[in-house]
Order: sequence, then structure tokens, then C-alpha cells
Amino acid sequence: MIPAMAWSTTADGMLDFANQHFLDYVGLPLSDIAGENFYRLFHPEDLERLGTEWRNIMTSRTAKEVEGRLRRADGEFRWCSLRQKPRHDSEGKVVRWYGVVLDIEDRKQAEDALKETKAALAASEHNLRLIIDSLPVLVWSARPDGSADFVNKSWLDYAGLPPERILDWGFLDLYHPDDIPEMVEIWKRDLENSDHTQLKGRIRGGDGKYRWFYFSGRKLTDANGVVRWFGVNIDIDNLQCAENALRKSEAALRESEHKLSLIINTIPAMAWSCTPDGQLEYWNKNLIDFVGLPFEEIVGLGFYRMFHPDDVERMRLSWDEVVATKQPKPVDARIRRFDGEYRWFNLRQNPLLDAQGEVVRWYGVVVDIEDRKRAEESLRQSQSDLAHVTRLTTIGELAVSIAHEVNQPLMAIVTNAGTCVRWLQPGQTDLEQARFAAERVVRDGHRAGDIVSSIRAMAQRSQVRMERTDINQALRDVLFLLQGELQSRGLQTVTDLPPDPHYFIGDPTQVQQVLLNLIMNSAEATSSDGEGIIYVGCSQNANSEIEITVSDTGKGIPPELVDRVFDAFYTTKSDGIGMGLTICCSIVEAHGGRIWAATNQPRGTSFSFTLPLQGNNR
Amino acid sequence: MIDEKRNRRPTVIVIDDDESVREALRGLFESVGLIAETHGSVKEFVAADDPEKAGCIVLDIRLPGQSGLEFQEALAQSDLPRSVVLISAHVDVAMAVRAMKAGAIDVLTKPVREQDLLEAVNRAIANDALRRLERTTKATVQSSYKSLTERERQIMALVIAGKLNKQIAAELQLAEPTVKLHRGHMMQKMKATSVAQLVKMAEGLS
Repeated sequence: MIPAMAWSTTADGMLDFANQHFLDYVGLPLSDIAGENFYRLFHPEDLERLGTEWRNIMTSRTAKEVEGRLRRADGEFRWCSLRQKPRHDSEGKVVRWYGVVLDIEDRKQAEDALKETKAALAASEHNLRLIIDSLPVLVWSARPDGSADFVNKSWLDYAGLPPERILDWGFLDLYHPDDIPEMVEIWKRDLENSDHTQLKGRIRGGDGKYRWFYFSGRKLTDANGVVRWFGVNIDIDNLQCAENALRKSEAALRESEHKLSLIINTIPAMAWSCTPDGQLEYWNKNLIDFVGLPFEEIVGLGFYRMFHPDDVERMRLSWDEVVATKQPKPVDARIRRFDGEYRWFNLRQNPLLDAQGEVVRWYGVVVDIEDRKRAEESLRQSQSDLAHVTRLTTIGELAVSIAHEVNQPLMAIVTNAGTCVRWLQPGQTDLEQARFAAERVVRDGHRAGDIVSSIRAMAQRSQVRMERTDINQALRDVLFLLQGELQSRGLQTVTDLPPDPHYFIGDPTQVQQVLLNLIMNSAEATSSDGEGIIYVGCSQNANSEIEITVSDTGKGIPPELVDRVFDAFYTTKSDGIGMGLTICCSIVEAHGGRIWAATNQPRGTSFSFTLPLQGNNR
Repeated sequence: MIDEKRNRRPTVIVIDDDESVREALRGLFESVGLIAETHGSVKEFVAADDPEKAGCIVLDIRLPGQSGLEFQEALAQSDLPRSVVLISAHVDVAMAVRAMKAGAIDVLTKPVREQDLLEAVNRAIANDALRRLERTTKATVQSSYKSLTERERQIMALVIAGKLNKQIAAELQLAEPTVKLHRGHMMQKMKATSVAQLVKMAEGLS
């Protein structure tokens, strides 16, 4: 009982024996498989091959192991190994064939499984290779020393080079020379100390252009302790370009911000910005340096403390108005310098408005106008001096009438005093008469005082006062001063003054000077034939201004010259300097009024000027 | 009778446009017993003037309308000149000369010392009185002269010329006794007591 299935055939291949093991295996009696019937045991697919093999073996009389599937007793085809050996006679002829059948199904299956596994592995490897080669990244692997032992197709395609030019250390030739030192340093460091690496660098492509790549690698140690690095290089050139551009534009922006800040801090003006509700939020260096106050002290509403105390309230009102109306309004104020000196500044502001017209921010500048202010002050002083001189000149021209005017009460006083003394003399004492005389002295003394002070007011060089003044009173004072002069010139004066006071804000002396000038001009232009009339009128005009008119019946001004009379040094008088009306004009304009001349019909000239009316005649 | 006496008391007429001055001057003149009358302008004065009123005028040079100086000159030219004291706040030499030429008693500068004014006014009043007297005398001589006959006037002219009766008779071809008779009548009518007096009277005639 050999544990093998044994058989024998005749020399011509007819089965004539099968051992019991074989018969049991196939589950058939010998008679069913004898002769050529054993072919029925073979798998239909193997039948032709096995038949051919068997005939070849018999023909060549050479043994050969063949494999094929045999149907087992249970109907299952199982792989078996068929071996045979011929038995020769003395002449070397084949007498019989002997053989064994070995069930190799299990082995065969293991082999198949192995083969399948191998195929699957190959397929998987191929697949992986496909994937790796198709990945839109450069894939590589490297040895522990950092040299490359694999690069994928994308790598080759990108570089446009065969693998041998890239592998090992070939890739270094493709790196941008500027990047190599840093990249190699990082690569070597990570190889020694890390299990992953990340770096960035430019790789030259097949087209000769460098593109930026992001390198990411990871160390892998397999079960055998073999170390390899795997990694990918991702093209980030566009990203890098964008980043570089961004960085450049950021740098440019920083640069321009820096420049702007330099400009803002260097321009010889002081700049600031405020929130929509008027709180200070920015203040340039010039301003900080000038006021010498820390920003914390002036931020918000703290900036008022830098103004001159006399200006603070005005500035507050002005700024509140600007913020409320959103309308810029330049304003002048004194600002305290770090050393305590106040200088005049012009403050201007502009709102930045959004689409809805709301204020986003207020921007402004503060410009030092001290020198201009001083020049203006000096000009004003000169004008004031000139006005004073011409006033004195006018008063000088009036000296005779003024002497007369002052002398009248003095005459009365002296006379009354003498009278008083006489009534007190022994012998003719009359106390009542003496008292009457003394009372007259007192009364006339006051009158003299009034006249003297009105003349002094006209003659003195006073600081310009801006005060609420009644134009009626000013007119009456001037007419009082001039009545003697006008009378002596044989001129009739007609006045048309409103019964109630009309107030303006201004300098009474200066306005009286205008009146004095105009009336005197009229007097000089009008003949003293007893027919001459000077009209002085005052009323409230349609624009709610005070309008004063001085009109005469004099020789008049030719219409073509009417506009020239206010020019400096223009005069129709042989002894005039031509400044009188020029000064009148500057005084009236300084008071916010207008002055003009017109020719009367049939003769004479009218001069009119306006002054802004203050209040409702209160 | 009383009116006549009052009329003979001199009146000081003040013409000044300033009421205080008028009042003060009136007070002063009244304190020395003078009658004072005040006017604000020449026009006002003229309207109320009584040329027969004795006294003087205190006149401000500077007046509305006609000035004091012009008025004074006009007065001097008139039949009835008045004694005028001029006062002014501002008096220059030309003005003073002009005033004195026109016969002003004085030209005073305001404010005037009251003593000076009173003295000037007294002089003016005296002057006025004298002139009035002269005027009265002159008027008497004139009316006497008018009462003379033609022959008497002829003889008076010759007497004043210093002729003797004999010479007069020869010139007029009259007898000497006839001349004497006419001469006597003439002297009587003229109320002349001497030839010298007659000569003086004749000066007052045109």
C-alpha cells in the first residue's frame, strides 16, 4: 500500500493496472478506466494537452512529468502530477509504462495563490507607479545620506532630463544657486535630527526657467530597520509670485505710509484729525513738538487746553458749530508754545464724507500766522496812525470853529464868575443874584467839559475799541462839533435822523471821523452864498443796515470821476492830500459796511455808507 | 415922564448866538445897573431895534447869517451910527483893523475879562451919549440955518469967511448999516454969540 496512486499501461499506452489507492481516489473500478478510458478522468480543458503530451512521451520514449486536473471520486477536479517511466526489454524496446499520480492540488493552489498575489502585487505596484507618475507633484525618495534614489515621471518631465541626471546628487544642479546653501543646510540638518523636512526653493525646469517649489519629506524606517526618505515637491511658483508681489506691495505700502508719515511729520504745518464728533485722535509731530504736551493730554477734547484762555470759549463755540453743521470754517486762535509763548494760528478743517454724506473723519491743519498777524497788526496800526493824523488835520482845519465852540462856555463862565463876585461886594451884596450867577458857572463849566472831551475823543490816538454805539449819538456829536464851522460858512444843515437809537458794533471815534470827513468835504464843496444846504440823513435800509447819507448842493464831482474819489492821493482840493476818503473807506469796510458816492441832480454830491445793524434797536 | 427917563438910561444890546453867553452878559450888565437887551442874531435885533435907544451894542463877530463885522460896517455907514464893542473867540489883526476903521469902540477876545468889557461898554455908552449930543446940536444948527433968509445966508457965509462988514457991503453992493442989520438977525437966528461959535456950527453943516 504505497500512499501513492500507481498505474501501468501497455507499450501502446493502454491502461491495464491501477492500484487500489488510485481506484479509491477516482471512485471507479479498473474496468471503467482501463484501456483508453482513463482519459475520462481528465478535466475537459486539459484533455487535449495531456493527450498530446502522452503521445509525445510514448513516441520519444522519454519520461516527463506533466500536470493536469483529474476528477476525484467526489467529482472535484484536482491538480495532479503525472509521472511515468518506461520499462525496456533487452533490445531497448518499451515493454510497459509505469507511473504514479500525485495529488498536487493543495500545492497547486498554494502556487496559484502565490502567483495571484504576485500578479496583484505587480498590478498594485504598477498602479502605484501610475499614481505616483501621474501625481501633479514631483515625487522622490532618498537615501539616509540625502541622495535621491527615485524620482517620479513628473519630476523627469519637469526637468526634461533622464533619471540618471537627477538621481543621486544630480538634482542639485537643478536648484537655483541662490537657494542651494540654505536648502542643503536644512536638508542635512533634518536628515540627522528629524523625521520630516520642509523647505522651499527654485528648481530649473526643462524650459530653463526656475520655478518655486515647496519640499516636504518624511523619514520611513521599515521592519528591517532600513531608512528611506519619501517626499514631494509642490510647485508654488504662482503662490510664491503672488506672495512676493504681496510682500512687495506691502513693502511699497509700508514705504508709502512711511513717506506719508514723513511728509505729514515734516511739512512745516501742523496736521491733525478728529472723529466725526470732534474729538482729537491724531496730531502730527510738528504739533506735538510745538505745544510740548504729551498726546494723552490733548487727545479727545483735551486739545482746548493749548489755546489762549481768552480764545477757548470762542474756539469751543466755533468747533461745535463746525461739527454740527459739517461745514468747514477757518478760524484764528492763539496757541501756547512749549515755552509758554502764545502765537497766532489759522486753523482749517475739512470733513471726509461717506456716500451718505456723513462725516467719517475731520482732517485739519494748523498754520502759524503770527508773522502775518503781526504784519496785519502793524498795518492796522499804520492805518490807525494815518487816520489819527488826518483826523488831527481835519480838527486843525476846524481850529477856528472849535476855539469858538470852546470859548463860548468859557466866556459865559468868566462873565458869570465876574458877575457873581460883583454881587458879593460889600455895599451891593445880593446873594440871590450871586447864586444865580454861580449856578450858571457850574452849568457852563459842564458844557465846556463836554465840548473839550468830544474834541479830545476825536483828537486822541486811542486803541481801536469795538463797542456798541448809537449812530444817532455819534452823528449828533459830530454835528455839534461842526455847527459853528457850518454856520460860519453860511451853510444850512438839514438833518433827518431817526428818533430812536440805532446801534452798531464799532469804534465810535473812527465812525465819527468818517462823518466828520464827509460833512467837511461837503462844506468845502458848497459855496457860502447862503443857499448852500448840507443834508445829513440816517435810516435803516432794506438790508437791515444802518445807512448814513451826507448830501450837498455843492459843485459836485464829474460822474466819470465818482468812482475815483476813494483812491488814495486822489483829491479835487488844491491843499488836500487825498487820503480822507481812502481812510473813510477803510474804516467803513473794517466795520463790515460799504461806502459809495453818487452825483446829485441838478447839482451836488451824495456820499453814503452802511454799517451792520446790531440787535433790534435795543 | 418915567418912560422918558428910562429911555435916557443907556441900554446895552447884546447880539450873540450863544444863549449862555447872552445870559451871562445880561447878568453882568444888570449887576452894574445897566439895562441889557439880548438878541441871537442881527436879523432878530434889526426887527426889534429902536434907533433912539441910548447905549451901545456888544456884538459877536461870528454870527449865523450876517456876521458881526459886516453888520458893524453897515451901521457905521448909516444915518444913525451906534457905539459898538466887538467880541470874538478868535480875533486876528486884519479883523481888528477892519473893525476899528469902521469905528468900533473896542475889539475884545473871548473869554473877555469882565472889567475890560465893562470899561469898553462904559466908553461906548459915553461915546454914544456924546454923539447923540452932537447930533442934537447939529440938528438945532440945521433948523436955525433953514430959518435964515437968502440974504442972511449970504452974509453968514461971508462972516465965516472972515470978511468985515465993510467988505461984505462992498461985495454985496449993500450999504454997511444994512449989512449990520442982517448980520444981527442972522446971529440971533443962529443963536451964535460969537463968530467963532458960528464957524463951529457951520462945520456941522454939509
